[in-house]
Amino acid sequence: MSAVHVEDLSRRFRGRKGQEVTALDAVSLRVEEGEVVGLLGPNGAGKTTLSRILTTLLLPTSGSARVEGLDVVREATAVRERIGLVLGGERGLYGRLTARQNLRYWGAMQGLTGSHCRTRADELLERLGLAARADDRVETYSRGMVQRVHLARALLRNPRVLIMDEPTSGMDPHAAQGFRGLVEELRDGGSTVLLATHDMQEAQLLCSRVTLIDHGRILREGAPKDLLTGLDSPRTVTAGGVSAVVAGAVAGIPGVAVEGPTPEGLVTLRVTGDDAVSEVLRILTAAGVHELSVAAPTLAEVYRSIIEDREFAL
Amino acid sequence: MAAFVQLQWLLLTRSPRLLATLFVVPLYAVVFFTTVRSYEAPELAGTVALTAFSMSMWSQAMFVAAEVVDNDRWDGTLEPSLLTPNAYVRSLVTRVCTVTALSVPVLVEVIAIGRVGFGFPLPVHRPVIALTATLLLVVGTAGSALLVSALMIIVPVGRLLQNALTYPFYILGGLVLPVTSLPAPVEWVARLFFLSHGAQLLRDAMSGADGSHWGDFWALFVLSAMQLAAGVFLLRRALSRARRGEARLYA
Ligand SMILES: Nc1ncnc2c1ncn2[C@@H]1O[C@H](COP(=O)(O)OP(=O)(O)O)[C@@H](O)[C@H]1O
Ligand SMILES: [Mg+2]
Repeated sequence: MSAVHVEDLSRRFRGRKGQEVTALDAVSLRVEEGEVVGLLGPNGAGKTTLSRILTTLLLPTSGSARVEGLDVVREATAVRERIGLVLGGERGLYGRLTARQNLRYWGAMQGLTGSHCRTRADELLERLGLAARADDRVETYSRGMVQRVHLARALLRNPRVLIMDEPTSGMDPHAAQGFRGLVEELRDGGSTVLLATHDMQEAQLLCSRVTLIDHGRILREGAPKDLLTGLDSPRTVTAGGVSAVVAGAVAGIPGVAVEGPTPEGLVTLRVTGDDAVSEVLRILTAAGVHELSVAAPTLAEVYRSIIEDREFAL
Repeated sequence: MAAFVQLQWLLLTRSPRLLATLFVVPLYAVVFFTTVRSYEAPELAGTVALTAFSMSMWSQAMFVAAEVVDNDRWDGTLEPSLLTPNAYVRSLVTRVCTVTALSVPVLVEVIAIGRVGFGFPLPVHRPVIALTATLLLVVGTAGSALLVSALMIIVPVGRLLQNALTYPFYILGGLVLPVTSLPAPVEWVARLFFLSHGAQLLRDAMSGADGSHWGDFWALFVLSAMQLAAGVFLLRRALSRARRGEARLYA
């Protein structure tokens, strides 16, 4: 039994002007017990819609979704007891309350009672490094701390499956890194996580598998390194002190796209294929270029080559 | 349930705007009592006190209590709340009742101001009737607030409703004048509305009017319970619309 099993799932909305918007189009997906799977896609891809359906907040138009073998439509109550939702963004908590008060309220909502609720809240505040500020109002927290309270709420009932919807969006890099550390701890503790994000680096760091989604369709899925080898993604070669003539010669090699040279002689090359890389390096070293770096393709490149460039700034 | 009351209490006390009723109404009461005194009509003091109380309870319900769900939507707390929909409905009922009940001290305030500040006797001849009527009024008014809170999710112009739902209801509720002084068809409509029976009971409790109060009592009991049931029903409808993707979970 997979922890999450989505089959042929579609969701259509009626748009503002009455037109039909397909947010998810026959999506199939599995997340095995203990896996961290990334759901990667630009804004509007359908990530939030999928997260909502899996957490029973939204009904699908067709298809099915199961969490721990339980149907999210027919067995919604049982699903809710086994799943934690971690939302991103500033909102989603009572800012005028402290973190402790928030967790006690949300604990009561989730059916934790009395002293059990209090100890569970205290435990999580301690574990997520919030104990020192637990009695300050959440509205005074940094974005990173707010996110830890979000995570604490999702963990109150100790769910087996966590759905995270862009948890690090809008966080500074330092805070985002801290949050990733927490996700790693959860992963090492055996939690199953479906992580929606549009941060490639985050997915590459945390996920054993990623699923690329756009326009509500799954475009590709696999382990990050398989996606990188399976797809002939370009490597990035940067070189300094390159003359226009040398740059022209390199540009003539099949599979090479050139940017530059800049007035300072800096060129950036996207080189596809091992032979092309060898040829590029041969020409550049023969021309006496010494400032040279070759970067392996990252998920960002895979992503760029599969998903048409839209609002992407990587 | 204690956790739900606590949440609402904290939300209210940490935002001064929300407790304004408790501080503003006594000021109005001073104005009204001054008028009553200068026209030498002390027999109207009781009506003034009750009108000030019941109007402030109703407006507290419409403008503060009815906003709980919409506020949750703004705070982004609606979405996580729906992960436990049954608990959320219980929480909302408790929270709306808490807000509405917080207008009860207004009655005490107003009576105290009338007695101490203006020397009106303002007796409460039937305290048990007054207390029961007040409790049932809280329930019915909270039910109305829940109904409005659900409408604010379901219909896009929900916020306009709030204003539309005040003055006509002051009349229909017999808060300004006893419903018997309304034109016949309006009086009939007013009698179907729990507020009119509650207002009558409170008036009788203060004046110590003789006769049976059971008619008004049962009408208030049944109509308030129905109001609460309708509020909960519509709220559940609103939440299931959200689940079908027909209402927005976030602002
Ligand atoms: N409640 C809704 N009503 C209408 N359209 C919606 C609604 N929710 C999402 N959509 C549309 O569905 C598509 C997918 O949105 P979403 O799942 O939020 O994407 P993502 O989270 O990947 O940015 C978008 O085109 C969005 O406008
Ligand atoms: Mg989203």
